[in-house]
Amino acid sequence: MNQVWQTTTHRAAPVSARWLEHLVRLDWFLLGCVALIVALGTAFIASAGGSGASIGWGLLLRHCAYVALGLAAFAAVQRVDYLVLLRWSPVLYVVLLGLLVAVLFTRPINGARSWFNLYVVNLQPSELMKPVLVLAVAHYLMYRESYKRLSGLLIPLGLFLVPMALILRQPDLGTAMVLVPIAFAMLYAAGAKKTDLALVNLAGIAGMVGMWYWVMKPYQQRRILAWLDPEQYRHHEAWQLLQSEIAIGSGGLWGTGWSSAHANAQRFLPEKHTDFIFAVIAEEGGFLMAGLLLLLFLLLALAGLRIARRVREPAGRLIAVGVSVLIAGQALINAGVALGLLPTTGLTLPLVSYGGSSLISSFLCLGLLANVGAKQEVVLAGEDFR
Amino acid sequence: MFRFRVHVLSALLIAAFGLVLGRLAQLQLVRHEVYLAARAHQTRPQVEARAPKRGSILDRDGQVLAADVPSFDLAVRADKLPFERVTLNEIRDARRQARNPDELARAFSALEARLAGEAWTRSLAARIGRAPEELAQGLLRALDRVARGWERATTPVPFASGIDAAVWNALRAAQEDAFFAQAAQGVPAAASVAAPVREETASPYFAGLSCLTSVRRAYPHGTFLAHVLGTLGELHPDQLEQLRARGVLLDRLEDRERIWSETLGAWPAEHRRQAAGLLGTDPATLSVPALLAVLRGLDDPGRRAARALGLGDALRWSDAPPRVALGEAERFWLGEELTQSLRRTAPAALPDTRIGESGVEAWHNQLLRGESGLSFRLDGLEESQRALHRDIAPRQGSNLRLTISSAWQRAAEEALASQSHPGAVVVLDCRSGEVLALASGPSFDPNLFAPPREGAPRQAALKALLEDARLPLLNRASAGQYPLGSVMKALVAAAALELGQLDPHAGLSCPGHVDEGGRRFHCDGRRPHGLVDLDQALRRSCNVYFYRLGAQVGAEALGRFAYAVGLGRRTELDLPGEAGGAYPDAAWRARHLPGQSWSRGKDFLTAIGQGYVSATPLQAAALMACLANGGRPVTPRLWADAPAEAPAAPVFSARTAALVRQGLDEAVNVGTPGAMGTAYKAFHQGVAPLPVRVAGKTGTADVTDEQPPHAWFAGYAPAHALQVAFCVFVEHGGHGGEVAAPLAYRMLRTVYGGGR
Repeated sequence: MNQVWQTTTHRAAPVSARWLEHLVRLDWFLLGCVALIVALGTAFIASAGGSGASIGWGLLLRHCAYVALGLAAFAAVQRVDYLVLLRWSPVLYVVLLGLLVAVLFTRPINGARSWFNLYVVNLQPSELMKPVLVLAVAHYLMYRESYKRLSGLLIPLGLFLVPMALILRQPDLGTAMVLVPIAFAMLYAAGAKKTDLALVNLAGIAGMVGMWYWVMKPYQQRRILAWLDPEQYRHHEAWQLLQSEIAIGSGGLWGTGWSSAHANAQRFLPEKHTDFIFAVIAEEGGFLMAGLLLLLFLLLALAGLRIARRVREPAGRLIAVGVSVLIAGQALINAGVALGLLPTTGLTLPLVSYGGSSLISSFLCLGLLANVGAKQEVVLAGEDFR
Repeated sequence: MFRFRVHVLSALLIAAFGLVLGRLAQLQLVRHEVYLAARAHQTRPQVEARAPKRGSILDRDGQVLAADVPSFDLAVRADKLPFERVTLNEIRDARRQARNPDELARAFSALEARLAGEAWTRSLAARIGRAPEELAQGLLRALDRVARGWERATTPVPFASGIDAAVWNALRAAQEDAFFAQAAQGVPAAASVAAPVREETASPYFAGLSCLTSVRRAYPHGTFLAHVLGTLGELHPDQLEQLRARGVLLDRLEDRERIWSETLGAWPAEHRRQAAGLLGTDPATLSVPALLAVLRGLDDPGRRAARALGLGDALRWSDAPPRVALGEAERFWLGEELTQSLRRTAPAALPDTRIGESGVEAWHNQLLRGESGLSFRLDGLEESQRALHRDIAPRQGSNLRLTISSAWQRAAEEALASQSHPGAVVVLDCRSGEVLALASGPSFDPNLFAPPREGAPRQAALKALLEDARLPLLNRASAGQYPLGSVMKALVAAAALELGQLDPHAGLSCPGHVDEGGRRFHCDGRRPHGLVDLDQALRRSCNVYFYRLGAQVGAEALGRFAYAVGLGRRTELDLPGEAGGAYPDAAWRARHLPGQSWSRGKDFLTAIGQGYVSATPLQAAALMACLANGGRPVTPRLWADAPAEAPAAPVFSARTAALVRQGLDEAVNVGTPGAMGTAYKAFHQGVAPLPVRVAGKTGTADVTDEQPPHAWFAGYAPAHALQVAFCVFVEHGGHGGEVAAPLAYRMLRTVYGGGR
């Protein structure tokens, strides 16, 4: 008895020490970017949530609560070895697929069946699918070479396409589309042939054309038409787009000032605290703030990709690529929509937009990234030693 | 390899962010001035619905029977009320938490009491001289509309109407003065809660109160013609869908198309073939508008066949316009067409939510109501943008001219009111079927129903009306069906003559009763009439004569004539809720008495208007009109300007009609002792003679042993000129000749004058 007791205590390193080690190894540059983005976002959520010059305290408090939940999720991911999560990723993937199917049978909110109404918070399974999808694809590609052939791409692409199809059914075009850059980036980084990816790309474009005719709802088609010709649709679909452009354009270099009552976005822009928060920031904070925000997202992504280069473990580095491209891609699409570069999709700005599921999902993704970056074990990956 | 590819991805990301940053710079730095100017020009286009004016209802001489009159109202802006937040949230909570209507009512009355206790409500109530409770009730309903999203918190919602004009004017002036006084002092207006501004003498300022004018439906003659005029109610936004589902609101063609295709889908093949024969083409190929056009062109037997095929709904669509058909502006207002840019400023409800609930207010609702319009406030918009917002002018409601003659109607109502029983009087133009009078007693005051229905006294009066055992809301003239009694005999005689089965001069001996199937059928009073011919039988209302005649003709053959003149079916009067009565032909028996055998005894009862026969007073009047005008059935109608219809083909020959009319004439005008007409006393004994000769048939319809029989008198006047046919009905009044006929005399004397 005594013997056993001694052995176990001897072997286990003190928990606090392991924590400390983990903390030291975290990529603090990356986390700094995240902290700045969240702080900036929170400030402007407060402005966007209010009416006129007053602050929307209710919205702000809820946003802070979600940020706290997100941080908790982030910390929780740090406590687990991501390899354990990786092992469980197929199960998580299947569970999330189930949730994505189940959500189609709920009552629609704003015309889409994307949320489970849990009374305290609306749970959006498509958001949670993002980190799980990155994990599952990394798990699949980890030790394989098959994706170097065209036929071998079918299964990993299928892993993307099934949830995409389910999310399109909701319908939520934006969230489905943001999965596309992740798929290409992860497959490309894993080593798929460029010609194969180009072929897939062509097939994808053909699929988009097919979707226009068979899948897309008239309002979605109109959104794209409105993006191509805003004047024609200026009082209907292009209303948001034009208001967003006017808001951003009138911000100028310095902006109209935080929470300015006469800001265009405040008066005329629907969804200003969620999908169009970028327009609020650009109008009130001007080019300086909006540019800084974009720069922070770029630095965040580059820091993520630096982790990918540094890590030698094959699944971990794919996770790093996936998460970096996910966050950066979503930010790019959201800003692109607000700037009139892309058609309206209804996608949040990660870490900034108001919304529980989106924030927690982003923090989970970043938690994975940080976890990968802080992992000490050097696993020998094939290629670099060849 | 992997590192290289990650480098490539990094480069791609840098390039993409560069592109977005470039676009940001383009908007914010290069084109900043342009957008700044655009923002300065931004005004949200404001849209306002313009309510149409509801048309008035006139009698045939142009006298106003119902019209909109100005009303001085008080309205409340929920966001400016001193207690707005609490109340709106509490209302929402009450609605959410209440599990059943009782709980909701309890929660609401608690809220009402709270509102009545507010200083704001109490001092306002004192100001306008109403009870705080009454004001609180209206206030709660107004706030409830806001809480349910039917109105915006920023728009004034009316909560009290019909304020005295002088009080209203003073209140409005005081509100303005107090507002400007406070503004001058820099006191925020919302902060003052019905508190005196400075001194006791200064008027308090009621935050959130607006003084508005609106219109109210007024029926200047009170209970006069109430059942025909009907009542107005209010359409709530969430009732639109319900109305659509019930088919009352068929503003969308697709709803009709859906019902039509469902009907078609349920049809057996045989049915479809019959319909093809009737409509002249395969019904499946017809669109709804085409179907309605075909149905409009059908003659009477065709309509009957169409109804038998289950096309009743479609027939009704083809006859009556839908109760509410939304115009272009209203569809825009309520529907998908409302653009995103406007949705936020547009209130949720239609500008005029009043809808006819009964009477011609309902039947001709669409005509009276008109269509709302839209107008845009486009200050600061550029010319190109203005072009996108086209105003739609409201289409004003048309006036509805009725065929009602106020002189006849007043005479009819006075006659009814001269006795205590419930009853009905119908007067028709016997050639055209125009309804000159349609009275039902007891009556009610439609002003009570005119929205808004707030206020405790009004609610109590409405409750009393609804709970009155004498059913004052029932229109006995067209919606009440009663056994027809001996009035039926006129039809039996005409049918037998028309079929050539009756020699009018042949006599029949009446022993006072006849035995059939082990049962004894009596004459009225059980006294033998002796030898009677047709004239005598009609004059003295001999049951035995008509027992035999009815059995000879048969219920089936008689039924064809009954249907043709308007018995056993609705007469298609343009008034909602018309009853069809009953006539026991084979089709009716198959539906209502499946498996029961028919007997000669039942033929007997049918022939004297007892048993299964029932009819509305309107139908009895239509029967008389048909006999009076020489045999053409009439379709009664109330709308004077209805498109003209081709006259119906005669059902009876002129000879038949003349022979029956002779009997009806004698029933009123022959006073031979021992063989006196059943209505002779009422018109000739102890009363001043009328300047016109009247003809008619009495009826005494037994119902139960406990209650007195229904009294009928149906006829026409003058007997030798085509003018009016009428029917007087008194519910459980007693003998037709003793109760109903004197009322008819009274009415005719009022109109024609008498007693030189």
